[in-house]
Amino acid sequence: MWLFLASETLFFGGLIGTYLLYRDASVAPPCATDCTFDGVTYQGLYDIPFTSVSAFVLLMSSVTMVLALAAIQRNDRRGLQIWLAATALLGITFLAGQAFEFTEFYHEGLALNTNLFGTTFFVLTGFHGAHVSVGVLILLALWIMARRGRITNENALNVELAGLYWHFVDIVWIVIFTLVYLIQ
Amino acid sequence: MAGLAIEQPAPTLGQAIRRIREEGATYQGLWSWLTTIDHKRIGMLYGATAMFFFLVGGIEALILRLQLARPEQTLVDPDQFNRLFTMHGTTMIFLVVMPLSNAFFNLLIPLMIGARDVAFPRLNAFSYWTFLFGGLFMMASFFTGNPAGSFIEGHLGAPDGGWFGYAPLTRGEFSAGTGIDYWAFGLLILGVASMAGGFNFAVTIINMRAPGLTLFRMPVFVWMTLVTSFLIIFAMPIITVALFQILFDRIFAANFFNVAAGGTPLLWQHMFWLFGHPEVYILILPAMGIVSEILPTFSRKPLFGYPFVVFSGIAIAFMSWGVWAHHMYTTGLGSVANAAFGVSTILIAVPTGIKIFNWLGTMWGGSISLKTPLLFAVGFIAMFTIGGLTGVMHSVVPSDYQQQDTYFVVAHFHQVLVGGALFGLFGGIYYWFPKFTGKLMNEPLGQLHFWGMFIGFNLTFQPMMILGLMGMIRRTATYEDGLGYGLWNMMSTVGAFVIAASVLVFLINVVVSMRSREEAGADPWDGRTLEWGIPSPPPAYNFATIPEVNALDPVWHEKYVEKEAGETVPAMAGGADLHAAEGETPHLPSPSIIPLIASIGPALIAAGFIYIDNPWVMPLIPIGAVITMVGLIAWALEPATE
Amino acid sequence: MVELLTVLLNVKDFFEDPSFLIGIPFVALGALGVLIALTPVELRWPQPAPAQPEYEILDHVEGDHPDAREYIKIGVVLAVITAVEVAVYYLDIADGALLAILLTLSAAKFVLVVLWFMHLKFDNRLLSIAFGSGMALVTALLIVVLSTLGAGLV
Repeated sequence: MWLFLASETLFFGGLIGTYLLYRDASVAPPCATDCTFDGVTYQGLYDIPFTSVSAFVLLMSSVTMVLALAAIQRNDRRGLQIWLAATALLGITFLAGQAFEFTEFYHEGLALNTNLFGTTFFVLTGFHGAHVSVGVLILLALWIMARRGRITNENALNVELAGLYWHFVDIVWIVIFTLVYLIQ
Repeated sequence: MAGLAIEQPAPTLGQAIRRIREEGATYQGLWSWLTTIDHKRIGMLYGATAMFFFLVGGIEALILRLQLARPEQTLVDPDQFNRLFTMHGTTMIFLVVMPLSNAFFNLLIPLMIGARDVAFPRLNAFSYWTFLFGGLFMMASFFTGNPAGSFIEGHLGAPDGGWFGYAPLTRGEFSAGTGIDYWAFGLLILGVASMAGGFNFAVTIINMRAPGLTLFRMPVFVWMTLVTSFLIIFAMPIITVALFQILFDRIFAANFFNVAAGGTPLLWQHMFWLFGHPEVYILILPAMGIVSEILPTFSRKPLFGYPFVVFSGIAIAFMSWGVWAHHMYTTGLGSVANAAFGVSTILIAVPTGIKIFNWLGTMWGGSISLKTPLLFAVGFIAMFTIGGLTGVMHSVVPSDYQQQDTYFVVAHFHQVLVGGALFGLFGGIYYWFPKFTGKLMNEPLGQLHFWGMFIGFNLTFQPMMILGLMGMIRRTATYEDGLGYGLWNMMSTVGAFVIAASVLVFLINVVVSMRSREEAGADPWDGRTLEWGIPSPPPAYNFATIPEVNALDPVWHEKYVEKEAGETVPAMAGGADLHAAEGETPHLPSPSIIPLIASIGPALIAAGFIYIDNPWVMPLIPIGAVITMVGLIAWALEPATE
Repeated sequence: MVELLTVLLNVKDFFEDPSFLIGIPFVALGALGVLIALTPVELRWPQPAPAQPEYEILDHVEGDHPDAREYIKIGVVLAVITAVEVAVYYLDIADGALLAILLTLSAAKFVLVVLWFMHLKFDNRLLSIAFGSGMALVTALLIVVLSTLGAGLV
């Protein structure tokens, strides 16, 4: 799993690099922050408070994930179920926030093919969201297995591996949130 | 058709599988090949499939050479020419050399480290089936998607952007039709297969070595596999990003490479070559590993400077990340960047040179046995040295300004890939054929194959060096009369057909050898490494008892001890029992159809996206997704194998 | 001859219209179904899971693990750092200083999650090497490519 995560750093590195390369290179609005074309200033699209909340949600889901692992390592199967469900719910909340953000941007006139910002932003955050979705599916699958009593402290490795993937998806968001949203 | 060899139907699938494990019942026939998770069978599947694609790529090359034999010919038109050379390159790199290397990884790694199988056997099978479907997916592109007409009229639908697919030429407005889509999706699918293999072998080598087998007692081939696996793990994601980007540009009108919107073609080039340069080392390092195994056996001497060879391999992999822009000298990066990459590229020749000297040192003073595997290994050394030196010529920036996009480059990379990788891989086939089939390959036919290939290869590509220095441009369908290119091109074409004839000899050799009645025995070459200590072909479980390893070249040390004067003599009987014990059947993971099912999904999803506007084909996206998900869930829930 | 031409033209049309691709999964699954049907194994759903056995919650887990309380403490620290980052964003300070502060804070979050939540601090050094080399590689490559192409972090 660590080797897989190492390869994923290269993958997201490529997408983040592309975003950074094309930052502020769009030839048409809308942009991330206020930008001016032909003397007209267009308002930036980023809503930092909103995105901060969703970043916080994802961060907390990492906490619940590690609590799930700690629970099953103590053979606390009930605890495992609770914390897995909490992680999945927080993940779904994050995805809902992303979906909301995407539709907001779309209504402001930003689509995949509008300009460089649209392309790089949607592809980067879209792939991240896809990774989160896969993570949520894995968590739900684990939750179902846990409900059936198939996860014990002996095979806690399964939860640990899922946890590694989930934490990785979270730290990618930490990087994206800082480089893409906060630093402009 | 034969199925399970059991007395009565099993009540559940889980119990049936348990019966297979405990009672040793096995699948037979086609089903056994579809469900195999045995690394030896998967290796053979990889090898056979790679050979098939080799013939396809070879025929593409022959057509290209026929077209170029004389000036101003019209055997194929420029559109067909572009598609043929694109597919020739893509096929040979991704569907021949990489899978053939993978075949050797599969066949040899568990045996060389004293393991019963790889770390993730079902992932191994999944890797093969994904490769097969990805390759077929790419081949399908020939038959459809050329906007000028159908393939029956001669309008091939294959991609025409070159194996390097430079954007923005590959964007929709410059490359109409579906060719590039097939190319990009095909490479994505093949990338998944490669990465799965990379993870598998890295983990296997790190975790599953026999007791006593420290990293510095591993055969060099295992080291090269480990290094190559890391290169794959880190390089593939980069091209994955680039391929997704061009696909988004083509299918969803994104702007990654849209110059009008502010995009830059250099983004593609950087990404592609960041992948592309480590990729060529992925192609050559396994063959170098094979040569490092063949030379000691046929010189009856240990490898000279083992630590140096290992560290050179690691150094090459490490440095391969710092040289990519030498493919971009002529794109206007500026003199600082050009100079920096020029220096790093010159430096990367050093570890390769170290290896060459160590190989020569291995043979020096040894008792040489000029069998076919050794011929190919020595051929590798000679041809790769030439190819490497022409690479150093390219690394000098002003020199490259003249050579870029000429036939000199074509000569260079064929010199290292055919004279290097392919020779090494063929040598490996002759060397290990007896181990996996129990029959030696026919020696006279092997020598004929080698000499035919050696002469043909040189006849094909040395004239290209001259053509390149004369200034003949590559990737063009024909050339003007009266430039003096005609003679060299004709020589090159003749050489290509000599190569083809030698490959035919090889195929005949395979058939003849398989039918021969003579058993090769466990150790026909008097080998040095663990695989020669078990019967040929190996039993399903490889080792009856996992060996304990005390030295480099463990099998050699079991057979021979050194007398005080330094001569080697055969050891007394009573050394470690490396042969199968009677009546004992070690436990093995059970066969499974799930990897095959899971690998069908991605190709279907890709097809759905290519024809996303077609309401009949677009549903393949959800169907493929469902098949993949069902496959993965079944994979997770399958009765646990230990 | 005419029939042959007609057949050929129909074949051509068949290939030109990619709609036939939709048949592939059905053919593939059908073939697999036939193969499965021909093996003398009866496939049934696995038996339902047995009744939940009694289980005991362990007091102590082997190995070097932080316990739940420490994880929550780290979680609080992460939340606080995030709040500080957002606050700093709104302050009126120079671009360079903002960049430095934000990068440091997010690096801190990154390290906390990787070393403690992902347990890398307590695991075999080899895993740190595997992950670390990926991170080092991508950072170095990004810096070289972005500077070569004339773009910067800001």
